[in-house]
Amino acid sequence: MRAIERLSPALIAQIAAGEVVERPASALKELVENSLDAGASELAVHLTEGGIRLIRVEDDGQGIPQDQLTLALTSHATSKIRDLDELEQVRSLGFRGEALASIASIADVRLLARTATADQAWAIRASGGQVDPPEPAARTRGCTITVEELYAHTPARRKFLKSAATEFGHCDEALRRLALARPDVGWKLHHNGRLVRHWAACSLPARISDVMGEAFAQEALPLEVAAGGLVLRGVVGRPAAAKLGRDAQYVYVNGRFVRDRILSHAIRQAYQDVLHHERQPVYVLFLELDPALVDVNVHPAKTEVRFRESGAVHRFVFLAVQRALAATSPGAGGIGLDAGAGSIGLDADADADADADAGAGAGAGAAAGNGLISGRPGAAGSTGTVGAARQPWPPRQSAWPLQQADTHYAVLFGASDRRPPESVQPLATEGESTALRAPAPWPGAAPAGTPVPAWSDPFASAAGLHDAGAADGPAGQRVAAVTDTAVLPPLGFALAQLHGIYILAQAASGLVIVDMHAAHERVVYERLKASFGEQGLPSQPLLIPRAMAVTALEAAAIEEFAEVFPSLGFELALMGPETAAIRAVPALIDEQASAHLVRELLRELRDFGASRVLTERRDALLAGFACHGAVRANRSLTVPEMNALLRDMERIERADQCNHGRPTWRAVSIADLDKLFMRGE
Amino acid sequence: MLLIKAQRDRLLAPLQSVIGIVERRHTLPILSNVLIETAGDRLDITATDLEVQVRTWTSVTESPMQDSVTLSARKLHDILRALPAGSDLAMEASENRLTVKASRSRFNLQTLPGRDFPQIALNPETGASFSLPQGVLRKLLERVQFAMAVQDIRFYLNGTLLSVANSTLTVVATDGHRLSFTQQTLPETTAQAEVIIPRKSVQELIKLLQPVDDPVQVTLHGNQVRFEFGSIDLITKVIDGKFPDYQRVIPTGHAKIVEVDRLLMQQALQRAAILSNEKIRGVRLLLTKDSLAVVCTNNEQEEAQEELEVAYNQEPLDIGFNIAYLLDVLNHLSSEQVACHFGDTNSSVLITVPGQEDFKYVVMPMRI
Ligand SMILES: Nc1ncnc2c1ncn2[C@@H]1O[C@H](COP(=O)(O)OP(=O)(O)O)[C@@H](O)[C@H]1O
Ligand SMILES: [Mg+2]
Repeated sequence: MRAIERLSPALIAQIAAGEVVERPASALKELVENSLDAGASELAVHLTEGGIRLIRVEDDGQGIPQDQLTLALTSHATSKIRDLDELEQVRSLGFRGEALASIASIADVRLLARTATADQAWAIRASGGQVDPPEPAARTRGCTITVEELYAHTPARRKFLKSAATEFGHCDEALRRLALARPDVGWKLHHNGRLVRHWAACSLPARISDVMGEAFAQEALPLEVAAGGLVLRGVVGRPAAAKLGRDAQYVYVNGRFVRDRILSHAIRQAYQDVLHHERQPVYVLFLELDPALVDVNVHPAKTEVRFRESGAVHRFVFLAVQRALAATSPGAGGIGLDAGAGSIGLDADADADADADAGAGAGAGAAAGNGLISGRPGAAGSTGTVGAARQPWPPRQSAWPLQQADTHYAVLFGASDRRPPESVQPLATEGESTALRAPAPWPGAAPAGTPVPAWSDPFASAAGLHDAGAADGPAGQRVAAVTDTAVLPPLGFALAQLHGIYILAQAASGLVIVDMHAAHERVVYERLKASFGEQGLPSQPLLIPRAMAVTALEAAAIEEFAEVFPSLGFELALMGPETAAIRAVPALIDEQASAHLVRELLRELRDFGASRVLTERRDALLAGFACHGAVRANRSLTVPEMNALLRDMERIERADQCNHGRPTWRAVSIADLDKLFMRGE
Repeated sequence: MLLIKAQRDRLLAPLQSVIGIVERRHTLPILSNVLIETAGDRLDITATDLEVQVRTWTSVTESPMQDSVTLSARKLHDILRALPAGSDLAMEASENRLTVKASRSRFNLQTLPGRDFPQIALNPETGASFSLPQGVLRKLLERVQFAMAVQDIRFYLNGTLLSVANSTLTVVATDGHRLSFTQQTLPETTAQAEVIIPRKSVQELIKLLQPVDDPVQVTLHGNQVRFEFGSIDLITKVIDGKFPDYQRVIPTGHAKIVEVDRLLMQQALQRAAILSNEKIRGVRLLLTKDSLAVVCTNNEQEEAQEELEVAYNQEPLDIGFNIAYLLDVLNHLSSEQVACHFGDTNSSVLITVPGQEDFKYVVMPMRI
């Protein structure tokens, strides 16, 4: 056996480096974080062969004084914290003081820097742990670090690197993560001498659009919620935009990109009943909280965090995201294909109520500003809605009941030949122009007979159609009602039913197509959920308690969370080290499944300090009921019934997709239709 | 080859008494068949699902030879039912076919050999044995069967307990939420025994037992119980397990007792149920001086309230229940009055028939 010996400092450094600098992308991340910590506002990154050959980061930050250059490359040397208290409050990205030293131990490093007060720049070189003394050099304020031949001195490690293309991919991803968090910084990325990314300093919504792509940004829902010292802001993708991979999930804690089970679990659950189970939600979310409440010093790469109160964080994030998603009803997100317009309301509404609903509403208001509101009749102003752009549009009116819809039909067709609602037949059977019947005045619109302002543009191209149909009846009034797009509700009015499956409706933007069953299922489901939500879960105590075998961990959780169970309708008692008795179960839940449910409940309580298992279970049951309660395909619906469904969809939360994450409606704009027919070309 | 000649009605009635246990879907095809055995002018029909077996017999006009064959119970049943009442028919058997002929109709059906039919072999070991009027046993079973569990993993709850000791028969069923108990004195004393009859056998017995005084002979054969009555011979396996200690579950000494008219209470609950939450089915009973109020509310915050006049002058009580559990017991009793014995809001409630010791129903309240 060989004797025990101390490792050489160089070897120690190289071993440690493996943890921090796993691959070029991790070195790049450390370098860029240093630049950001140094207050840089412009950053340029150069990579050669995916960073394996060369990584260079140039910044315009505060630089490093000549006498500290060598220290910067020394391990456990940092300018960012001084003592434990500062560690607990740390806000900088770096604080361990080991990144540069680690990199220098496994690569050739050149550090070139100049501070604001220095009259010249200085540079040092380090190679294989050897540091040369500083030499004079030239550059403006800031810092340039060049890292060459990563792992040149540790060939074993180098073998694990993938192809240059793969490593470049990782570097690119590392940069995206950093860039999303700092829209105020301008970024440039060169690969093999070519400029491949250029993101100028801008607002967060613009940066999200730059980095994630315009398509995502348009579909995404903004959110900003603050409660109990926690702030969550960012955007969440609409469920329909969910990807199959997990790669478009960005979560930041105090500006630091993290991978955290608690957070991703909370977000995933918020998507739970609007997302197909194989799909991954897409999101960019920034959580802010008192640094003292989160430990970032868990892993050298600092992508892991530990929350002091994980249960509270989980609940907060879950609710915030869930509410943002709940706002995905047709009225709240703008119309269909143009849904994105103004929907990232982060900057525009920076001072808005930091509440998810208000955020979404304001976003929608902005969306409406370029279409709906502008064309509204003047009468609307007199109802006292000042600052209409701030007002969610349509106003979340409390009711648009069937009868009301019918009275508007009466206006449309003249009161004299008014028919009782039941006798209103599906349009097609009447041989009238289908476009005619559709729109009815929005409540609060100019009363019948008063002059109505000239119609607004979106429907100009459809004018011919309306005119043709206006032959019989009080023509002027009818045309006015039809063409005044400002009075159309977001999903418009039903025109007809297609093959017993789809509802076709005319909306301000064009044609709206609704999947009847999916939409109704959603409406029923949301109603059921809302009504059960208010009531809590009644509990059924058991005459003969049900025994279940438990593990030691489960038994501990039963004791620890003893006071949680009654609120969930459960009553549990430990009968011995390995047996528990279920003495009461929530009334809605099938008692047969209770042991299984308790087990899941305990696991979640243990892992996350909170559990949604029961609510999920309940929702699953309700979803089943909803599916049965919803109209089936091939049921023929009358126009009033179809309109009632459209109005319901506008009112409920999460109406844009069915319980399985499929869309419930789609829109085809007039512009798209024009394209189809090559009009105006 | 002629198997039998008979009147349609002579065949249909016995077939109807066995068909209840034939499972519609089976992985073992022969189990959807009935066994037909002929000898002299007698015809025996047997059906089984391997757990319970019902055998019955009828006399036919002619059955020239001793033979046995199996064929689809449901098809034969449907054919017989569709033929005009009173028609004469003949059945002819060949290799693996059977032809039913009736005037101008003929049906050619597939058969499987009678010897392949999995009849339950009666366990030779005999235990307790007793007899009582058919109508009495039927009533006993009816009074408890609704409280049996359905496919509970605690398999011993998916049935009804028959317990005999001295000259008393005790019948109990529970699904863990409520329990129904009834007792009957037997004409003679017998050995002590306890068996759990599976759910399906109980339900089949209730269908087959007639409301008459003719006796049913019950005999224990190890893990089987045999019920012989009229032309029926029913053998069922028993559920192997320990039934919960029902004595401990039945509360004693509940002091808040109200007697109510069973039908009035039943109707009040049925009306109130219209506005109960359809998934949870909760109902609140509010006891105040000389009044029992029944209150249901649903998700839409609609409310139904029914008031019953009762004699009560103790502390007020507000207690919730699953309305179905209350209706179940009221629907299955025939007495004019029922007595409800309450403890506090969280303890179980005992429901009895005033002046009778032979029936007890215990139900847990629900926290609404
Ligand atoms: N781009 C830069 N601009 C200014 N100072 C820098 C830069 N990069 C590194 N430094 C200095 O070098 C020190 C060591 O960096 P590093 O090894 O990454 O440790 P840490 O970031 O954890 O402090 C930092 O504390 C900082 O003072
Ligand atoms: Mg650093």
